[in-house]
Amino acid sequence: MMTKSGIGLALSLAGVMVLMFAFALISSCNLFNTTTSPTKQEVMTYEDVGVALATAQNILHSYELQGIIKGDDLIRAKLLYSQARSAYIEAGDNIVLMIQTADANQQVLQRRLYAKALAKAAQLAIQLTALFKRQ
Amino acid sequence: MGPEQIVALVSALVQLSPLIPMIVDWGTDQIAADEGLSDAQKTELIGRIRSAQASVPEWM
Repeated sequence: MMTKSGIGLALSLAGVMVLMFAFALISSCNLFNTTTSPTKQEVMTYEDVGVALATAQNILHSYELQGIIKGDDLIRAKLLYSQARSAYIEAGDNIVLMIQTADANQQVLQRRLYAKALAKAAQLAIQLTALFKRQ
Repeated sequence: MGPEQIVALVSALVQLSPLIPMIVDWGTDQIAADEGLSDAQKTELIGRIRSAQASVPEWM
């Protein structure tokens, strides 16, 4: 059974994670076939996902300070967030390599690695939300 | 939105999350090789990426 604070937390995080899922999807698909270059779109998406992650951390940290998250749940939450952040950093490193290389094959590889890392970050963030569903 | 809807939303996200890598793989295949960015554009984009990375804090 969720507590009232747990419901609030799940609502806040669910909103952030829905955005992350949508951003990961849009990032990878060029759904709108806009005239903006794929790389610029990816960088914009990357920035947006960063805002979502930072917001999630802000929410979680405030709940930590209020004692809403504690014990094993806190440890698990920090671990999941840390993994999501690492995947996000890795995605950024891959897109930088993609921009820097002149080799077309290498660009394709780096773009794929970037997309996979960003998808991993989104998956981990959703698992983080699921963790609080149990409260 | 009530508690039941929130729980349902989170459950749906968890159910959908395994699809993310497949969607990403498909989407990546739709993107052609990169257009020629100028050196100035590359520098600007890399700066924005590094800035975005720095904006995501560690949670100690």
